[in-house]
Amino acid sequence: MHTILVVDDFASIRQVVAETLQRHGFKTEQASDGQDALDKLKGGALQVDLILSDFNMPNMDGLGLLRAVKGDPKLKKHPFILLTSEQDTEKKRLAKEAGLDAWIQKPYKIESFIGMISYTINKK
Amino acid sequence: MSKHDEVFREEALEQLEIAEQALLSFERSFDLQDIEEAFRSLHTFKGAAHIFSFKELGDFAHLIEYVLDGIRNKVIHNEPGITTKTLNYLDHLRKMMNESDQFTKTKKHKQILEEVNEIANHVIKTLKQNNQEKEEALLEADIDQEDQENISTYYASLNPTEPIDSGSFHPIFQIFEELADKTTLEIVEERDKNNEALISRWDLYISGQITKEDISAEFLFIEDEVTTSIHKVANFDLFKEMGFDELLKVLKKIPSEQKLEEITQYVSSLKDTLDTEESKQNTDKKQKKNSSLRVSSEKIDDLMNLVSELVTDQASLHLLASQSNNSQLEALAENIHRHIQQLRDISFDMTLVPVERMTGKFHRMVRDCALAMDKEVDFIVKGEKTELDKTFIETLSDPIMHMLRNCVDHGIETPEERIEKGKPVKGTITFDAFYSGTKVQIDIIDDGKGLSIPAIKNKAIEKGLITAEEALTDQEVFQLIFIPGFSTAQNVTDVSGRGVGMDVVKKNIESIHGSIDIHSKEGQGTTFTIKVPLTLSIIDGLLVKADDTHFIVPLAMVHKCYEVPYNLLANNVSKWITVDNEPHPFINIRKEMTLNTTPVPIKGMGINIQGRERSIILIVDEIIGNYQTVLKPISDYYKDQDFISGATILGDGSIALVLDINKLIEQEKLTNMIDEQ
Amino acid sequence: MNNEATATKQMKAYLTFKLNHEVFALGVDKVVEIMEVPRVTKVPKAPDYMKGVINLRGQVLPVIDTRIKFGLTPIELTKDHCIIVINMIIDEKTMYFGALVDQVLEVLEMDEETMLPTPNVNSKYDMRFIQGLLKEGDDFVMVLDIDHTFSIEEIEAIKENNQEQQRD
Repeated sequence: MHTILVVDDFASIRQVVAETLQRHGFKTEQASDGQDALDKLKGGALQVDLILSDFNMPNMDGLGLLRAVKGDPKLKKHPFILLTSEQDTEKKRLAKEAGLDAWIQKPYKIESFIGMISYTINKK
Repeated sequence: MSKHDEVFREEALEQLEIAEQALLSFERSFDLQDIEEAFRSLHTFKGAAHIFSFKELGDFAHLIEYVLDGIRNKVIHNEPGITTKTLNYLDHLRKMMNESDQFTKTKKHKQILEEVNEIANHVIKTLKQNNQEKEEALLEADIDQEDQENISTYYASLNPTEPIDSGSFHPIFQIFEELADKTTLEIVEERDKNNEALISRWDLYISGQITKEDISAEFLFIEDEVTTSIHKVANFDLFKEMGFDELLKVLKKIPSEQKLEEITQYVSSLKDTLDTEESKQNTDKKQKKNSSLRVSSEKIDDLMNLVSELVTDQASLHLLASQSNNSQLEALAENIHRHIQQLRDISFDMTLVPVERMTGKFHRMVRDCALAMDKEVDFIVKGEKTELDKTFIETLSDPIMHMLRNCVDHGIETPEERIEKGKPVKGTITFDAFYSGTKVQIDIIDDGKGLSIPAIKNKAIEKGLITAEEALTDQEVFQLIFIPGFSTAQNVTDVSGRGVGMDVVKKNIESIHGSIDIHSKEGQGTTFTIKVPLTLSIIDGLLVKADDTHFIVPLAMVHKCYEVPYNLLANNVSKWITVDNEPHPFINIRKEMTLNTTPVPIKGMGINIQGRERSIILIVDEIIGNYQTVLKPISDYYKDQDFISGATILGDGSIALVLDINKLIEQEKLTNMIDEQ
Repeated sequence: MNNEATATKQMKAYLTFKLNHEVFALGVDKVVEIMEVPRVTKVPKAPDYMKGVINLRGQVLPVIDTRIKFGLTPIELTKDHCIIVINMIIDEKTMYFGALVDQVLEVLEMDEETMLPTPNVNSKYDMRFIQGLLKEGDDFVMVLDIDHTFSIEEIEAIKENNQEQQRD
């Protein structure tokens, strides 16, 4: 069973996403912003198979977290997905440059959301 | 913010200046073009701000864009002081650039931000609602080209490095879904030759308020697996254009590498037509502002009517001046004559465009339609220089498109059928436009299977339009096609079964006082004849006289004039005379029109006239000279005298009759045939 | 005449004119103007009753010899003759034409309800074109049914009759 780290500053959204994933056979962990997620991942305290993060968050946003993860030799193997309502093409490009694996647009359809997550995990 | 990058600063301030000027200009003129301009420069500003990561500047500009959007779409254009408000917002943007970073934390900033936000939200909400209503309206009404602003059409080809399983959760399918949510999207898959479940290529046709970069960003995260190439093919919505459905069918059939070229050609054929309207290209706008302006068609009509009156008055003036023995007056009259002629030509030009403006897309549509249905068709256009009122071209374009589609679909047979019938494999459709007196005639001729009278009748009986007992002439049977709800196609095909029927075609043509007739012979083909008046009907004519009646011959058709003694014709039974050492058929107007009030003079004049089918010599008593002819319709009471296409008022107030030479030749041919029998 | 009575009655104005010594009337609502006969340009090959076209302030107006409708001899123009310019709506199109008459008389105000039905008697006139009769003093005035009389179909019908007669 794969474990997914759900990063979002809104607890309610985090909960909804996590429940959706659990219903489809994933285990989930949660973090409240980029910094929180990074702290949990650093040092191998938390083992996950995929990071699913929001874009706009306080302390460290999704892009910052992505850059930190992909810049860390130990963490960079983690598939990284941004789940966001952000539409800005430029941000997408920056994320891609930073090594993002997939970009899921909010609002999403559950079927394709789960499909994307499975696809990204299995690709690695 | 004073430390901000100079490059951005300079450019951004320039854009704000343009936006400001445009708004000020809008305040004076209420010309929405100005709002367009303000919108464009603000958009540029926003883009630059985002690139230089000045998020707050960009976001604020984005909000102002909504305000402008609201004005341009007439959501808030009536709100008092909206222009002043918008100008204030621009000032505020400028302040944000000049003041320190702390400025955005001030209460004043937050207040103004809130205000803009409120307007923006109102605009967004209203526009969304309007769009829904508009979509519903579109189902019934014609497509208004103006609504297509900012919409572009793209062609994208996607080549996966490895074929992708159509049943998988590959992200590409989610991307398609997302794209389909915000654009009009047509996806054509190409399956792998060895495995039907695998897709080896996609061709996408995308229309929407989206940029090439936006589309390319959609595929960003699968770029290692799928090679995409995106081309902007039009800066309007191709999905709404006539003939695009056919094009899509053709595109499915041709090799991948030819598709882009094919679309480009289609678009350029459309542009020939679109250019008659205000060009939709967002090319250098300032330049265009100098070279063209929009005038309501009513004003043009008024102008043309006045010019017509002037031309008639001028003829009277000319007559009076020549009778006055006052050389100064004569010279003045001559000058006025010249100026009026120039005025006439210029005003005329404003309203007329050659029919070739619409035939470009006909070529395309016929070709695509034939390809889509595996038929072979030659499309021949004649008389593409024939000029017609611009609005008429716009009105006729769609009906003719529909008729041509019908010709290919129901008229022309398949190559097999044609071979069986002993016809050339390739069918021919001819579009022939020409002047016919005060009218322009457009013939659409196909050499296909023709209309089946029994089939039409049966259908009409079936539909309860006629009873089985009714005895109808062939013409009356053909006319049944124009009754609403009538369609001869046994099976409605996806090509001509869609869209408007012939009743709508007829209605459109009649809306511009035109008429449509059908001639058809089963097995041999069908001819549709459309006649529309020239709105503006001043022509250069040759004023002639036979007996006591004045006639006008269109000068464009006059080739040469000769002196012809009447006695040469007296004993001539052959109806041929020799001029310039060559025999020509002739028509003696006196005899043809039974004009015999005055005695036949000794000398007559022969005018060599180039008719549409052949040339003839027209014999009259006297050639008076060139005459600027303001064509006036002659009443329907004279519709049987169709060799007279109209009348004009001469300088002395009397009337000259305008001859329709082609009709005259036609009739002459008929009487000759009767004579021979 | 009683003023109060006229106010409640439906009054209609008629223009009366003479054709071959007989008085006819038509509703003034259809009449645009009355004019002297200007120079008429004959349109070749048109039937005799289509007198030709005239210039009415820059517009070309067809002129119909009204006598034809009643099987009378065509009008030989004299200075008494007048053209009544009539406007009529046919198939949603407004048509203007001039009706050539022997002499225009006067405008009568008559109660529409006093119109008598067309007598079903043998007459030298084609009664199909008479809407009814108005009594003016001791005389009767025949009111023309304009729409019917001058419709293009009717004009065409005459032409066909004439052609048939010619063939016979």
